[in-house]
Amino acid sequence: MKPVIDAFQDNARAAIADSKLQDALARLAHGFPEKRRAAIGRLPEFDALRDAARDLKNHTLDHLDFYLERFEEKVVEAGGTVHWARDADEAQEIIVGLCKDAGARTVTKSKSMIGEEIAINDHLEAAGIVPVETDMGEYIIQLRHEPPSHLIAPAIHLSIGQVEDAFRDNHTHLAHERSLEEPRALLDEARVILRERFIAADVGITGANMLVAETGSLVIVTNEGNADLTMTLPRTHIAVASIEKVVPTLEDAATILRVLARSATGQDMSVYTSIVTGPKRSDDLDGPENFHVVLLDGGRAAMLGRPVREMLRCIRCAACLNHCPVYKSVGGHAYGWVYSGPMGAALVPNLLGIHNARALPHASTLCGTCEDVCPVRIPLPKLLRLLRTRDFMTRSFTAPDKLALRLWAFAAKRPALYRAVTGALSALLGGKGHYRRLPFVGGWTRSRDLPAPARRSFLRQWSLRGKNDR
Amino acid sequence: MSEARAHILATIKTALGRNRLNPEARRVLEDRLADPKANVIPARAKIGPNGAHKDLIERFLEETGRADATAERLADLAAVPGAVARFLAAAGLPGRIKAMPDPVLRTLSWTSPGTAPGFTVAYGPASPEDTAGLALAAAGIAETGTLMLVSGPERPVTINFLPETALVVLFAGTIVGAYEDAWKMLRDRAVGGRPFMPRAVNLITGPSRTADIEQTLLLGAHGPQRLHILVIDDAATA
Repeated sequence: MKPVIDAFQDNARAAIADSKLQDALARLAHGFPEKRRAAIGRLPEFDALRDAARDLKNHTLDHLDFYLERFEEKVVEAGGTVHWARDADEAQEIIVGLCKDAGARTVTKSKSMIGEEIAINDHLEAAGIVPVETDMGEYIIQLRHEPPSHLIAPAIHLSIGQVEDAFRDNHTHLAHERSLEEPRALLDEARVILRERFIAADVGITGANMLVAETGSLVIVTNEGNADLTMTLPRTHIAVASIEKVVPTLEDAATILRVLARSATGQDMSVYTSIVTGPKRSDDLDGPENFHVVLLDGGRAAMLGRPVREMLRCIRCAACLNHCPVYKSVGGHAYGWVYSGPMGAALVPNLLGIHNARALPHASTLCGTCEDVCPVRIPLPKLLRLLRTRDFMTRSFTAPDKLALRLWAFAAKRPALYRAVTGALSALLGGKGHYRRLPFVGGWTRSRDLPAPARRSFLRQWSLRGKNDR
Repeated sequence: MSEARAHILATIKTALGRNRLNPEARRVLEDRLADPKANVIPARAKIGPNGAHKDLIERFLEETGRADATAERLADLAAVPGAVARFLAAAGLPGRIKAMPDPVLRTLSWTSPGTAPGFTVAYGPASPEDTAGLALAAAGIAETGTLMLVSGPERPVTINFLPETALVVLFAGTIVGAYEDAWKMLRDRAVGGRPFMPRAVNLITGPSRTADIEQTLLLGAHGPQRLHILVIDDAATA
């Protein structure tokens, strides 16, 4: 999808007024975080595992060229092919080309954030190939022609009634009188329809949670089993992954697995963790005959040399979304692209450029919960502050803004003057209660009241108290 | 070598502020790959100081139960057909099963007492009409109650995903503590310097599920709705 990030404030306002969305977000707030807490409570080594996960990701990033080359070598050894893509355009061109070579009419897809990032479905459709999302949530939002609103629960923003409407609008071959009130009825209907799609598909496209350099394997995690049907039944399997997904060894993958599901859904382990290496072997009874891996840079290699490289440790668990007061208030769509929440706010300005995502670093209270829950200890508040600085340095200001800042700076560098001015303002405006309206600060008072300042400044009160105490 | 590949690798090197790795740094990395070391293994994945292997079996059963799988212990492999037939009948399912054509499972006698008349078994990869599948696990991993299944000439992976009901035979002797112990089993399978990884290693923890509709947990999204594990205690056949 095309990013529309400049609309964050409008989107957020609309999201807060949307009662169905607010109900969905309330469910989220009690679901994943509580399960995560319970799972971690059963694992005393969780913090040690987070340290180990952080360290192994840092080690890999320090030697990313080496591990990517080794991964490629091992994929080739296993009979697969690695394709390199500098950007979304190159990646979609490679994938559409591979699908055409395979004579594909329909393609099944297992949920992939990189697939969303490169908008692969739009490009497949433009080439006359039908992409079918098979993750239940992703299937629902594909029917509704909307992007995911969450990393691991793409349809988290929807009510069951909205899902029912999407099914009735799209599954027009089924009897209208059928009952779809229960989640089970919706699931059963989708399962039957998607089963046919799995069997008919010519190509299966998946993402990858990890790439293992030691063995040239992909590690692909789902709860539904849809990735396994996607990559086992069709003749061709194409996996698309970004370059920072590589880990050195299976041992390193085990460490990431131990923190991934617990941080994401609060499961100890997701139901299906599949480690696949190359195409079907000559004596295998099933599996794809062709095995392709598309590695996407998409701006990540350049991030390695900057403080924001810490963002490349991210394993897309969504714990930061699930715990973020801003995400929990506005949902994922307000962020305007495929990544949302704190990780999206810190990543997107680096992938698209700060001038395309100025609002995102400000979509945070900097409360620090995201960093507290991050399984690979990404200092998200620090990264957001750095992005705010970059936003400020690259912004052009209006003359009144500049004048106001200059006056403030002039006073701030002269403590006596500063105290005199703030003291006068406190004496004038100070007291209890709130101002509903004030001149010059309409931007603030339009949407909220301004608390009245104390009559005396903190410094003044401190010096008075000091005298009385002594 | 593609232009994109060269460009990405060059961008990485520039960003990391170095050119090629020096030989010594390279050797450290080669060693790390050649002899992979575990990072942190939780205590729950290990046998305690005064413990025994049976603790791992207990832990496996407890954890796999938390993941909504069911399990029963059988004295020996010969008890499998009867247990399969009983399980399917109790669940109200048709008396037929598609089994992996693995030599171990092929030794099973499906006419033995306990299997109802008319019970049918077929060996091979699963097809969409199969209602129940029988697989043989390569290992059980106690720390999270996870099964490890591997693909191979006699081990189709479709058995694990297509049928709505999955039954899996697991020898108690192959239950290990940690994922790393299971990796060791994979490495030990390697013959003559060939790559040790089978095409597919499927780690399975409970039956398929989704919570994509209003966070309501439902079992049986695309993979099996039921996962029943038959743990074989007989050491002789392990």
